[in-house]
Amino acid sequence: MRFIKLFKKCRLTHLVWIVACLFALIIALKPDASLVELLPALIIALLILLGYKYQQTEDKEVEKQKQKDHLLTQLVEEMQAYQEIAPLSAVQHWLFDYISRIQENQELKHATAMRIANHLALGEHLLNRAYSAQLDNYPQAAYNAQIQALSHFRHALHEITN
Amino acid sequence: MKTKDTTLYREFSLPPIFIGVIQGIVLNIAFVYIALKLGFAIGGSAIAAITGMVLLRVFHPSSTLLENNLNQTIASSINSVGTGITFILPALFLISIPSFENILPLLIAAICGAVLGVVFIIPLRKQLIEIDRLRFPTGTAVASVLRSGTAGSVQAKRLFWGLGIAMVWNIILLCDFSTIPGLLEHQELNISFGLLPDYMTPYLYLSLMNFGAGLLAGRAGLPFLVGGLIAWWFISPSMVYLSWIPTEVSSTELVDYIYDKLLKPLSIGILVGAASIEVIRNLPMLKLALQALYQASQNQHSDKAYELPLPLVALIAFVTAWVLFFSIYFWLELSFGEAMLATGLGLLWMMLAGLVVAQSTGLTDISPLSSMTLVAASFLLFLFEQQVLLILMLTLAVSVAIGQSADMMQDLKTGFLIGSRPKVQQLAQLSFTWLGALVSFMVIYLFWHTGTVTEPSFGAGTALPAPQASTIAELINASQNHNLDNDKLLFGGLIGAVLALAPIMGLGILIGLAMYLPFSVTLGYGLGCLSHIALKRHFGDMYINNKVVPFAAGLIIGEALIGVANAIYQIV
Repeated sequence: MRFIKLFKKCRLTHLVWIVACLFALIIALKPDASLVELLPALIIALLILLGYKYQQTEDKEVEKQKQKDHLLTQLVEEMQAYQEIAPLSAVQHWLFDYISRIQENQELKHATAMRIANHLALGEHLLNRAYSAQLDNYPQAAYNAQIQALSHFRHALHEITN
Repeated sequence: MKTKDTTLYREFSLPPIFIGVIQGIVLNIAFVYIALKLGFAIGGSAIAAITGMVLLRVFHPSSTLLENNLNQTIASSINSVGTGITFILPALFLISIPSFENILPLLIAAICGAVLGVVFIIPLRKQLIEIDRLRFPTGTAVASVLRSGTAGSVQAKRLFWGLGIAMVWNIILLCDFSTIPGLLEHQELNISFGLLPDYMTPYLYLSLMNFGAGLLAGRAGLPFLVGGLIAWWFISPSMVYLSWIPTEVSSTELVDYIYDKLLKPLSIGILVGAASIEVIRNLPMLKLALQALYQASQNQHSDKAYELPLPLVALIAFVTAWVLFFSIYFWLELSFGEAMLATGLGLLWMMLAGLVVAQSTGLTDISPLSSMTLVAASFLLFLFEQQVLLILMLTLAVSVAIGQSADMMQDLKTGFLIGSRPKVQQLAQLSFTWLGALVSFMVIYLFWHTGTVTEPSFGAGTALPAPQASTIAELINASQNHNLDNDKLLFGGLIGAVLALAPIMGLGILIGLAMYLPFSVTLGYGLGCLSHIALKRHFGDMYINNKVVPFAAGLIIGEALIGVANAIYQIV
């Protein structure tokens, strides 16, 4: 049943694209194959990619607000938890998971999102440094790095809310 | 435990630098010899991190894990240069009697390549590590090693469990009694069970290092398995079924024919085509990354401490590129235009291939350095057929540069995970990479002097076969594109371009790479990826980060250590 569900999820265009690519690979290896024989399969594959891109652009507007609201809610909740001095390893785990998901949001590819990503990355880097300092028994350095990390997360939050 | 009062978290001092340099030189000598003897390279970061842990504990007991990271960065910057040089330099010795006049320009080219490889990849750190978040399995493993050493925690136990299992497993596989004809040979398990034909290469490479790399990569490495399956379980049977294999090819030669004449040229084409599209597609990202880096270096005080200033990086690249140009212009008696063209093409390929190799290493831990170098050599041979020294100079510079790009990015990933400042690592790599080139040249030159005219030291049939350099020498001797099918390259390039345009990161590169490598390797790696996905689904992210990553790191390091020990044992 799971396989059938998976198959239904798979769009027909995806299947056609895969078949076109496989066909192109086979034709490319045919003895004395010419470019003319190869081109139809490649053009079909390219057209599907263009269609996919167009569809993605249309879907993006609808997804944009939805994702933004969701991420914002989550970030606010987690920031509150962080301010209540959550264990460092737990914060790191949350951050990794959060950033992984925010990366999937194509909006991050734009300039504002780049700044958000920059703050989050710096924050994560500083948290990593804090964890290392903690392991090396440098509590003051670990605390300072945590404070700096928090500052970057605040900046990220500010960017998202504005 | 004694607590330090200071707020300064030390990541830079003389002992780790000194230990890193010594380790780098020793590993460079060992790895050059292994690459000449066996034709493969071993990554030195993990080994340097482990031995560094022990050495620093003895000579610098108060060392931090950031200092150990500095030690492994320096050590790997020195030893990783050796691989690129060993793949090319022996070709000079195989073609002609070397002299100071032709060794010196090659040394300059290697040093320029090493520096350029680092400076070209520095501006991409943000993009590849912070935005794209590539996994860099070995880089992640090294971070795990560094942390386990300092914490002495449960993670260390997991790492050493993996290390112990991989070592024991590898020792068993190396023993003669583990060979069972028809079932288990050359560390490959036959999984055909009498059902699958040989042209589907139904073998599983029983390398725990390979499995461990897949275990670290997870879902991101899956297209690699798909590429292998397409190559050997779809294309290969289709070729046989459609009777597209010449009748004179016997059944025992079938797999070699399919690989050498069909899949290899097509996969090189796919790699090049996908690489070109990846570069074009990454241009806007690259621009944003550069802008962010520039703004950071101009405006934010906090960032200045982290990144090497962009103008300085550009200045080093500019000066080094001119040194490379002048060494070509004055030594080879080329016209100004020819020297400019040759240098320009070399620099372009360094950037392109450096990005591709860094991405590939980040996604799968497997580097297409050989194919990128081979393509560079073929292309330069096509353009400058009679200029053998020019071809060797540029190929050497490219080979060393792309190796350094991948190593730098790997080390920066480790640094990111443990909180080291990239600036310190970048400076360390730039400061010592030239030393690796010098040591490798001296080692290869010394080995050459152990041979005679009638009994050469390098090449097929000798104790040091140097397979990659022998291929380049054959290619140059043939003075033409000997074994590269131009049609297959073109078709592969077009297919690679289409695959690279798909909305799956690195798809073209992964498919091309999977077709280039033996299926037994791809399968073992893919099983690691599938295990990662299954464990993540069942136990969650915490389980992966806390248990799977240190264990997989142990698997990688354990096999590498036994690999080195076995190579030394074989040579002795």
